[in-house]
Amino acid sequence: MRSVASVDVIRKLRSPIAIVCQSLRHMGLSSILIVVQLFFGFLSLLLAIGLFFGINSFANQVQFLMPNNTLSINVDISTHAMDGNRTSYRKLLALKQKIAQLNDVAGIGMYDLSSSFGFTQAPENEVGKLPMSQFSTQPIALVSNTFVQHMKVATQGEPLSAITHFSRKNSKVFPIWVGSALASQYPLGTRLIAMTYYTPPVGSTAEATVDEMPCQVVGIISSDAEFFANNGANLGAFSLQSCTNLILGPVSMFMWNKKSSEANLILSDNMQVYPLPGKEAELKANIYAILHQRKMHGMVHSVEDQLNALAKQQKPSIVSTFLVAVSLLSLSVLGHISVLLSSLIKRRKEFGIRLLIGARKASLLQLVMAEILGLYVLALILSLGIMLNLSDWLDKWLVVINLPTILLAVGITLFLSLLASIIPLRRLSRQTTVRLIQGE
Amino acid sequence: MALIELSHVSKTYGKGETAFRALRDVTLSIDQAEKVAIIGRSGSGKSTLLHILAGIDTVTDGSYCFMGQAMRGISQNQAADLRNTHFGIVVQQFALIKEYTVVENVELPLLYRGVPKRQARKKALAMLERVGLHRFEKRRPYELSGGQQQRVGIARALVNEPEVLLADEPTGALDQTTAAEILALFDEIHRSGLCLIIVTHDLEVAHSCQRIIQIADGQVVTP
Ligand SMILES: Nc1ncnc2c1ncn2[C@@H]1O[C@H](COP(=O)(O)OP(=O)(O)O)[C@@H](O)[C@H]1O
Ligand SMILES: [Mg+2]
Repeated sequence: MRSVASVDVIRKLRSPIAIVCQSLRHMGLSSILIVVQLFFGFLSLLLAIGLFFGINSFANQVQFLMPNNTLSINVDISTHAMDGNRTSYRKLLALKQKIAQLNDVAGIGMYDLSSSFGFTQAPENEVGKLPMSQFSTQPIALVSNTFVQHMKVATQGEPLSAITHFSRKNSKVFPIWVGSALASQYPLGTRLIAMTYYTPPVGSTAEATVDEMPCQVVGIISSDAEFFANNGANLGAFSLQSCTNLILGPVSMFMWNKKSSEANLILSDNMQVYPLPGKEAELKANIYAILHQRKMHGMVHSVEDQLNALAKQQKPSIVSTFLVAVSLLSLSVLGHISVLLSSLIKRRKEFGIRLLIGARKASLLQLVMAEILGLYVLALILSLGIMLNLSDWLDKWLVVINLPTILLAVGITLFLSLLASIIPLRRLSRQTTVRLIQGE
Repeated sequence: MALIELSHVSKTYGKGETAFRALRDVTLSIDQAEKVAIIGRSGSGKSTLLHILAGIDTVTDGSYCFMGQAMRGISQNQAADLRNTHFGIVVQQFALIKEYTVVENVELPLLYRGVPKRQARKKALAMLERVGLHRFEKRRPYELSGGQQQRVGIARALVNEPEVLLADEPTGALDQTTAAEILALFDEIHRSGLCLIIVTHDLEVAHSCQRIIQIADGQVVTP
């Protein structure tokens, strides 16, 4: 007879605001309740998903940059003060050379202390096989946006040919490695400010490495000396705070400017070794033997070990955010059902009237669905607004808020809220017209 | 051919021991442009009959033909479409959506029919003018008196230009003067050629009609 059974709805769908108004008009407080429930449910779900994906994508990118069989040697050089650092740096270089001579080594790099001034060297004859060669012999670039400002102040007009800064937002990769890659774009002699995630020794290591670098480092900033002193550079390599710490960074910069020895604390260092295929275990044992022989303390981890450690470290937070999300969403679903049921009961008379004047039952269901969708969109806008505003901060905690995670969270909550609407809507559709019209 | 034809219609509510026969063997026909009163005591089955006529409820036995078409076996959607296009229904408690303004209430049947919004609004306003409420279009139903609300109900019932106006105790909630005004309005509507079926237990209302059908215990009785 006519195809427009739900004109009322279609007309309103043209404007989401109108739908929300319509819902508020008909459901009053109930609709606000639905919005609030959806809001928190969505927020927590997005957080959980963002964290889950954040850690995974971080791990993926680490693996992209580092071959899986890469071994990290975390060496304890336990030194204080500048002189000691120079000594320990020499010790490290010697260690590196010794390890490089091992038969099962395909390549070796020093990525923390040394890669700040970066070099990765492979034995001449192995260069072709070295998957990490793109990182070799390059100085490091800068880290956070805010730092750039601080550094401009701190260098007091010292001319810089390039300030490269790195934000985790654009590239979810650990900045030292990215820095190495970025710096390869600069010509020899470019004056760069280097940002590292722990405090390098001014005047000792810096000097030593400057000689080996194609670029000139005019400043080095550490973001979180203490954190790394306590946790070891290796662990810290997976911590985000270290890269974007906005407080400790400038403080270290200030101290560096003052040439304060307290800022020059190194407790450990980190090298990357690339074993020949199938030689991982052997190499690991050999490195331990060398460390032992030289009376140096150190740990040798595979990338996998480190990523597993990261995953293990983050597991409780992923699990707990998911638990929170699941409970909030269940609450939201239950609340949704009960609010909807009670509002449908309250609206029986209205539905009866609509039927009386010739609305089809399907159009009533569509009307309610459209209103629910309207409320859903409102909740979505509110929570997305908040999450996107917090995304920089969340990023530090490895929580990624991007299109895929948003879409996933939207999909799940939309599905749940539609699911939650089925029971009330079925109940509505089972009512006979007479009973609805009588408002019973 | 009569507009409405009921033959041997029965309506039973419930099943088994609790079964209740609200209508028994009702046979009647109503012509186009007739003005009929259905009277009877409370509980006699008047509203049930009206619901069946309007396609809100279905018969248990017998047959109901509207405009020559058998109503038995039509779908819920078809019944809804019939109500929308061929019937105007007015009830005792006005049945207005309180969240909507007067004009929004009146234009709703047009929107369900698929009439564009602007056109619907225009028609609804014209109809409000016809029932003497053109200055009240922006008000909410509860801001109107009972008589005015019933006029809104009538405007809404007429806006789709139906063949039949069905009214269930339209003056039941109104005082005498207001009721008289509503009756006058019905009169005018009838003169424009509509079939009017008014359920009432008010004899004064009944006597304003050309024909009276009396129902007692679900059966048509000759007065
Ligand atoms: N849905 C129903 N279920 C059971 N009995 C009903 C139902 N609707 C009406 N009845 C009964 O049918 C009889 C006729 O009701 P109704 O048509 O509303 O009477 P009237 O409108 O004449 O007062 C009443 O006794 C009423 O109790
Ligand atoms: Mg009745």
